[in-house]
Amino acid sequence: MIRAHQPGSQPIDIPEVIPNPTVVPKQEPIPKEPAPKEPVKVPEKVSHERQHR
Amino acid sequence: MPYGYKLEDLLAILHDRAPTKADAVALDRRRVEHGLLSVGLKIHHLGKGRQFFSLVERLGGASNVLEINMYKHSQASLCLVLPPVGNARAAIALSECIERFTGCALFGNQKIQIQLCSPGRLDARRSALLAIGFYLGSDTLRRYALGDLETTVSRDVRYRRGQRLVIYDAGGDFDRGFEWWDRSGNGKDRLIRPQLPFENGRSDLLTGNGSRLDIENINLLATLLVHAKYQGYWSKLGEQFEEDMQSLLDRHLLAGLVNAPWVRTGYAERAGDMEFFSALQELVAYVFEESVRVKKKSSILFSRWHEIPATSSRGILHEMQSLLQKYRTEVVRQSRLHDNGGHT
Repeated sequence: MIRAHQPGSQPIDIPEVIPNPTVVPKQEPIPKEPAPKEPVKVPEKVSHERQHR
Repeated sequence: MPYGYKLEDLLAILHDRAPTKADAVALDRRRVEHGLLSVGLKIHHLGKGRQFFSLVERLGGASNVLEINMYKHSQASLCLVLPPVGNARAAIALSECIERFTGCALFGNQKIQIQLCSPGRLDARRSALLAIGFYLGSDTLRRYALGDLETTVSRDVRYRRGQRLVIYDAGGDFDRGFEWWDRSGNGKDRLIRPQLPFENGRSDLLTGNGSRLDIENINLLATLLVHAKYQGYWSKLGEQFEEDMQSLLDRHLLAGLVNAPWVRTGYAERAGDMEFFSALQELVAYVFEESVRVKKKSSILFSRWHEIPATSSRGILHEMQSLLQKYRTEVVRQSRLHDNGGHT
């Protein structure tokens, strides 16, 4: 912020950067990088005994 | 532009964290779209730049990558020069790969200053139109202090580039290997030359904390102006754009601004930093006032829209957006016409 001071008056804040009101913000594209790989699921061991039940 | 490494090496490193985008840039790196100019970027980091250390190290270390280039923003700890690519989309994608690798946002970041490099040196008047067009068309309206535009070559005895938004290159390496759209002898047909028609020379623009839109806009504006100067395929459109810009500035009583020294063209001329800065300040003051008016107008638009006289100017900011839209559409339309076998 730039502060403009004048003796006897309230200092006013002048922003250095403002959005251009005539520009319609573009929707940011969704990142297309592949998501991190999920850990491989190892099937639970099923005992012979249980299988035959 | 000295960068001390190859784009392929950079992309191989970036591939670790941004594989899809890095692959897309590798495919598109020489591809020229609609006859627009190639795009080079310089990333100035105004902080300590720690997030860039590992990238720089993997590219061959600071001595290879950073210190071979004495040029940077005066407040920057480092300036990473990126090899040029064939189109604005690829330049944006390359920046996004770097963002992902370093974890440092490059767009809209107060600590990052983006410099956009376009091939071809524009004369003083066209440099003024480039800078003014960029400023009015940007998604961010900025106030400047003169020191914001100070670089290590502003006062250097050899270069003396001054403190400007537009600065010329310092000679040295120049990548000509991008297509240049020309017109054939009959003036109707498009002739695609395999390389740029100039051996060196660039017009760079210091965007400050720039955006993706800034890169696209500057690429379009620089193309129109460089083609007008070097009689390229888009020269007629470029000349028409110059006239439109002049009329726009005339309507807002700002036509005199283009006479200020927006770029330092010669070595012998007087510095003119203050003269340029006064012109920039006038533009900034006009635009900030205009932005307040636009906001007020939009807030009453629905309640009292019928009271706004039909003849009132839509304002310089709206008019600039319309101009950019008009020329972007026209460039795409005419280039597609050719692709489909027609003439312009």
